[in-house]
Parts: sequence; C-alpha cells; structure tokens
Amino acid sequence: MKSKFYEKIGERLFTDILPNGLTVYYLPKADYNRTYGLFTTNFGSLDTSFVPLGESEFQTFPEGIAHFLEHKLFEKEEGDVMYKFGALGAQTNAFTSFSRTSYLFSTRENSYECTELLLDFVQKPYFTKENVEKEQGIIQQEIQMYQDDSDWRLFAGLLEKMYPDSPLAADIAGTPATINAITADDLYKNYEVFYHPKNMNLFLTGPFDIEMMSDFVRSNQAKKDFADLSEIQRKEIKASEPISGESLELEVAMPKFALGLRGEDQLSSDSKTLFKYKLANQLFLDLLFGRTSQRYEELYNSGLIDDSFGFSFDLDKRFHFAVLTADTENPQILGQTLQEAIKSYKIDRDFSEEHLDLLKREMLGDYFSSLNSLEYIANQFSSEIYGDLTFFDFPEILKELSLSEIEKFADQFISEMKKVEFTILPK
Amino acid sequence: MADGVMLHLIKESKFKTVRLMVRFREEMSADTLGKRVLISNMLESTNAVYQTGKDFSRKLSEMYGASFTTGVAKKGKQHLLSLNMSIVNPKLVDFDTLGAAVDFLKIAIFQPDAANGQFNPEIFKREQRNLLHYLASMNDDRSYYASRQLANLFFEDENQALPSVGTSELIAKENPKAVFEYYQKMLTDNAIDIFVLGDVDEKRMIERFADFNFTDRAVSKEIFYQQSLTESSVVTDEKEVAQSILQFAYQMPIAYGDKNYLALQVMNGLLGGFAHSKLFTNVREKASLAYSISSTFDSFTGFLKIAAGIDVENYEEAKSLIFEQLEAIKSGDFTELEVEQTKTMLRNAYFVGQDSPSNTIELEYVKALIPDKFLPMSEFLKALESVSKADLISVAKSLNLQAEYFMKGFTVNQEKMEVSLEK
Repeated sequence: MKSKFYEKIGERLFTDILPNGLTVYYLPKADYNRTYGLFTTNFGSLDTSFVPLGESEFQTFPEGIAHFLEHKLFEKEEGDVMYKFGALGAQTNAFTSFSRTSYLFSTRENSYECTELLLDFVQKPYFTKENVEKEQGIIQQEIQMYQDDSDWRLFAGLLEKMYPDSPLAADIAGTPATINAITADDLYKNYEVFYHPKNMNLFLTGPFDIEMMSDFVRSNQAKKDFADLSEIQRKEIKASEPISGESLELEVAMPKFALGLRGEDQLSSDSKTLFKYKLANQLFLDLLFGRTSQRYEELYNSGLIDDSFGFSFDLDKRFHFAVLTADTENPQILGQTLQEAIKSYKIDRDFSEEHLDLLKREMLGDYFSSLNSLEYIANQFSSEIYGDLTFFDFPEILKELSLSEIEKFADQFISEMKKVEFTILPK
Repeated sequence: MADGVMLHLIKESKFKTVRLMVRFREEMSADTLGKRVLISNMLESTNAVYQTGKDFSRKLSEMYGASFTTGVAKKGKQHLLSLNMSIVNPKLVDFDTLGAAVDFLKIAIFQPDAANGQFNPEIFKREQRNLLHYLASMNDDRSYYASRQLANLFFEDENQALPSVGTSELIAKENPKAVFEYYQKMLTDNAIDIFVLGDVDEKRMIERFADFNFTDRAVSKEIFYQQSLTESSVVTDEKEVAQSILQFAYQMPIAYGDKNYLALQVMNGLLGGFAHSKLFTNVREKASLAYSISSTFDSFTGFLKIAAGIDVENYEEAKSLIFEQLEAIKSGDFTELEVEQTKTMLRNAYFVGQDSPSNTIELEYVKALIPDKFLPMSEFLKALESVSKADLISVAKSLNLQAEYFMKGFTVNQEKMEVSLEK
C-alpha cells in the first residue's frame, strides 16, 4: 500500500492495488462523523459494444443496459440490498454516467459491515427472468420523469444532435423499447467483463483506522474468485456529422438555448498534459464568459442572458466537448455573440494575464472549499483519468498553467471542433 | 450585540472554510414579501462600492473565490432573509479572507446601490425582470408547481400559503422607492442573527461585528403556525406531462420540540421518509405503482405531505395503496425492526448533519429562535430512543387529511417518446 501526504491541502491518501486488480483509495478523516464508500466500475452508457468474456467477436447490447444493471444489482434472492444498508443505519445509492457506474453508502455506524455489504452486493449478481421484467416498469417511470425536466431535455437534445448515431446520442437510461429488449443473459455477459476488479476502484473516506480497514478490505477480496480477464475491448465511438440549428417545442416559459462544441482533436496520452488540457479549456471558457468577464456583464445588462447562463467543459478518454446554455428571449443573437467570441478570442479584452490570475485564485479557493465534501472528493477519484496524477495534485497543476499554455490548448480544441446549436422553444 | 441582535460564534476546525451568515427575520406578510425577495436579489447583484456585476464578481474572485449568496426562507410564521458567505480558511491561502468577508458583508448591507431615497431604478428593473422570469420558470418544474397548488389548498391563512420566494403579482407591483423605504425599516426593526462558523478568533469577530452598529429592536416571538381543521378539498389539473403527480396534505397537531415531536419524526420515517418506509416499499418497490414517493413534514406549520410520481392510469390504485400504508401504521401493523431501523436512520442523519457547515448553522438558528423548545443533542437522542409503538400509533391517528392535488398528465408525450425510439 502506498501513502502520500499532500502538504498543500493537509490530506494523506493511501492507495492499494490488490492482487485481483482492484484499486482501493483510503482517505482517513478523523474528525468527520461519517464514513463514505464509493465502488465504481469503468462501465457506462457508452459501453454497449464490446467483446464478451471467452468470445472473440464484438457484440452490441441494448442502450441503457449499464443503468439497468445498476438497478438490478440491488436486488438479491433475499430482497433489496437497500434494506440491509437501512438495517445498518446507512444510506445507499448508485448512479450511472457515460463511462461509469458507481455504488455508494454513507454511514455513521457499522462502517466495516457497510464496506463488506457494498463489496459483496456489487460482486454477487442475481439476475432472473422475473426480476428483469419487473424492473422494466420502474425504469420506464424514471425515463418519463426526466422527460418532464426541460433543462435535461435541452442537454439531451443537444447531445443527440452533436453525436448522431452513437451511444452519446442516447439516453443513459435507454428508451422504453431498448429497456424491454434486455434479458438476464445480457446482464450476465456485461457483468462478467465490466465488473471484474481490474476494471473497478473503491474509495473509502471517514474516521476509520487505516490499518484495520485496509486489512478488512484485503481479506474480503481474497475470499473471492474471478475469471481471468484480458484487456477489455470496447468499440470506438463513431458519430455521424452533427446537426446544427434544430429545435423542439415544449411547455417552457422562455426559449432555452444551447451551443455545443464537439471536440475533434486528438487527446494526449500523457496524464499531465491531459489534466492541463482540461483545466486550460475550462479556464478558457471562464475567461471569455465567466461572471468576471466584460462580456458576461454586457450580456446580462442587455437582458440577453440571466442567472441561468452556464457553461462546462467535459472530457473523457472517448469524447470531449464544451456546452454553453442559457434561457434567453433571443437565441439567435445569443448564438451569434457566443460563436463570435470564441472565434476571435485572441484579441478579446478578457483574455489577459490579469484576468487569468484572478480566475486562478478563485479556482484554487473553490477547490479548497470542495474538499469539505466527502462525496465530492470520492467522485473525483472515481472518475480518475489522469494516471498517476490525482485530484489532490490540482493546486500544483493549476499553478503551472500560463496564459500562453491556455492559448495553446484552446487553439488545439477550437481549431478542429464542430459547433452545434439546439433550442427549446415555448409552445 | 443589541436587543434583538445576536452574534453566534461556533468554533470548529475540521472544515477548510469559514462560513458567515447574517439573517433578518420578521413575520411573514403579503405586504412585505415581494419587497424582501427583491432586496435579497438586489443585495446579491451589486452595491454602491461594487457597482457592476463584474466588479462584484471580481472582488469575490480576489478573495480566493469567496461565495456570497442571499436567500429567503420560511420558518413557521416567520420570513427569513439571509446573507451567506463562505470563504477558504485564511491559513490555507495566506490571505485574510475572513477580514475581507466581514468588510464585504458590511458593504452589502449598509451601502446598497441607492440614491435619493430609492434603489438604483435601472438595476431594480433588471432584477425585477429576472425574478419574474425565475418565478415563471419555477412553474415549469412540475413537482414545485404541484406543491404550490397543494399548499394553496391546505393553508387557510393567505400569508402562510405564499411561497418564501413570493409570487409574480407581489414582485411585479413593487417600485425602487417603496422597496428602499422598506429596507431602511427592515434594518432597524427586524430580528438579526449573525453566525460565524469555523476556525476563528472570537474576540476579533465580536469587535468586527460590533462595528455594524445595529440598534435595539423589539422582535416577534410568534414562531409556530397551527391551523384548525377545515373541509377537505380535492383538485385535479390536466397538464401535458409524461408523469402525473399525486399529492396529499395532512394537518398534524404536533410542533417542533413538543412531547410527541420525536414520535412524529419516527412515524414519518416509517411512513415515507426512508427507503425502508411503507410507502417506498409497498407502493414503489412491490406494486411498481410509482417512480418517486415520499412523505415530508414541516413541524413549524403542522403540515405533512405525501407526494408521488405516478402513471396516469394508476391513479385509483396508487391512491388506495397510499391510504392503506397510513392505515397500517394507525393499526400498529409494523415491526420492531422497522422502528429500530428508522430510529437509527434519524440518529445518523443528526450526526451526519454536523459534517456540513450550513446544517450546523441552521441547527444553531433553531436554538436561538426557540430556546425553550430546542432539543440539545443528549435530549434529542434520549427522546428518539424512548419513542414507543403506542406513540407512533397515536401520532398516525392524529393526522387529518385536508387536501388532495392531482396533476393529471395527458398522453401527448407518450406519442413523442415512441417517435424518439426510431433514432
């Protein structure tokens, strides 16, 4: 087990890679009341095409299968695992994203029992024809619930137009039709590959004793057998040409506008460069569109945007994109203004050293504040894509980032990106 | 600090931040609600020193990303307007973020963007317009809308039926002069509580806040709202939504800190507060009749709500199954294990709340607001432990159904969903 003290933030992180391939992170927090555990597999809604265990051909599974499997893992022959956590006084939940599925518990008492339960329930599937059919009804309801959320519809609609004919265009939960096509056998085939310890990580934080907890996890894992798994073969994501300018009518008070920038440039395989690339493009958007920018001030004063204006830069090994969204009376003008700003950023008054220093200060402060939240820290670790670097290396990386580097990374991104506009209009 | 003005210091070193809050309180009224919500937005956007949103944001960024937010809330009969700041512990960044934060609060409160007896009319118009947009978009949120309708059906008192964020009508009728005049009154008449939570020097904080010079004031002590029973009402709205929403409002004769308060907590947990609850297990998990279902209560207004997201054709079935769950508790049809589990969950939630700065401050606020009824940790835990089966039955029996609201979805979206299958 490796241990590293991060002086800047005053935290000690332990990392253990177990013989079965599972990566475990421990972050002891003596003065917190609660223990939080997050068990994650690198398996999400995008992984619908891969080579099943013991086979040699790619097979494609229905959209929404990762999310379906997440729901189904909670159900065991003896009932729902949720009640077992409840009996231990703990809360549990799970979530599925494009690339990951995570299971969690949060508890004050029985932290060992909860850790054991988390590991055991995720590592012991129970899928039957009957319980698969029952779940189909529950997930249909969940899909419907999201249909009524207009902000979600905006984001989903944008992705659909940005990445047509690819898993990124599909709802993470699938559609009623794809959900109904899922069988217990499909679930097992997905489970065998993606829930192998080599493809998973566990993050534990709380007021536990590090020696006792790590021994406990090690002995739990040593008791279990797993099939040999070579490198997982996932089908590369290939989307058709994006479609810009479409809209959808819903019952909303004001138009909702989204501008998506689909990244087409080749990402670096060097972890530090990748970390910097992501941070640089976040700062790039912040410089041009953040609340400290002249542009935000003007757009806000003119009434073209309000507090709902927001933007983000998402990066994963298999995709990266920026999204800007706003409720606005005039989507067309806003779209032109945003696109124009991106095009001519080099001569932008907000693209300056002084502004960057200010934003770096803010980002560092926000980073420290985020360390109050055990959930946030755990989520950052579970989505780790930077190799040896971790979320705790953030302050060092941020410090190194200069305006010229930001320009370099932003150029790399925007010189090849594809722009997509999508709007939701009031009925 | 003065009559009706209190400073509360909470020493705590486990967080990487220091949190400050200044809270103004007065009795909820339709006359002042719109003004308070507008003030909240005005103070959050600009002031006489930081006159543009950009200057304002830049100042906060300079303080290592300090956050400054304002907010409104209801607590029983009282309306609360709060200014919140959260800053990084000065020791982490080697910069006096705390001193800067107190300065910033002082400016926000005493130097608003106003002249000639009124708020800056231009900024006022903008914030008013944004608020109206915000309220309109809140109504796009179906479950918020349903909850508003249910509250309107339930509350007899018009003031009490109003949401803490006001309504479009109340916001639209205000002007910069009337709101500024009210603001002066608010500063001199409202009860004020100031909180500082973190790794801070107490003496310095007392000095810094004494400098705010708040004067003596007589403050309202009427906290709890309780209404008598009314005719029960049922309303159905048709809306174009994929998921229908069914909600019930109950009157309960129990308030925070009452003898039966912990029994109410446990009863609600057992009914619909947790994943092992009757509603969740039987309506959602076993019968698959709802995607979301829960019960919540407000012990300052005697209001308990059951809310479910259902399929429109399951209305009758879901409704009767929901009622059955409450009946089950009334007739003692629950196990010792279910009760124990609920108690454990509540105990944990209590401790877990202490890992959050804002939660810790809220608890301290309740203590300041109703010192006689406040339950310190040991009493809370003891009272929780001693809740008996008979207590739970009696609490369940004391609930009175007062209103039902059903947002009935049309099927238009169903067709749309099928179209989207072809993608």
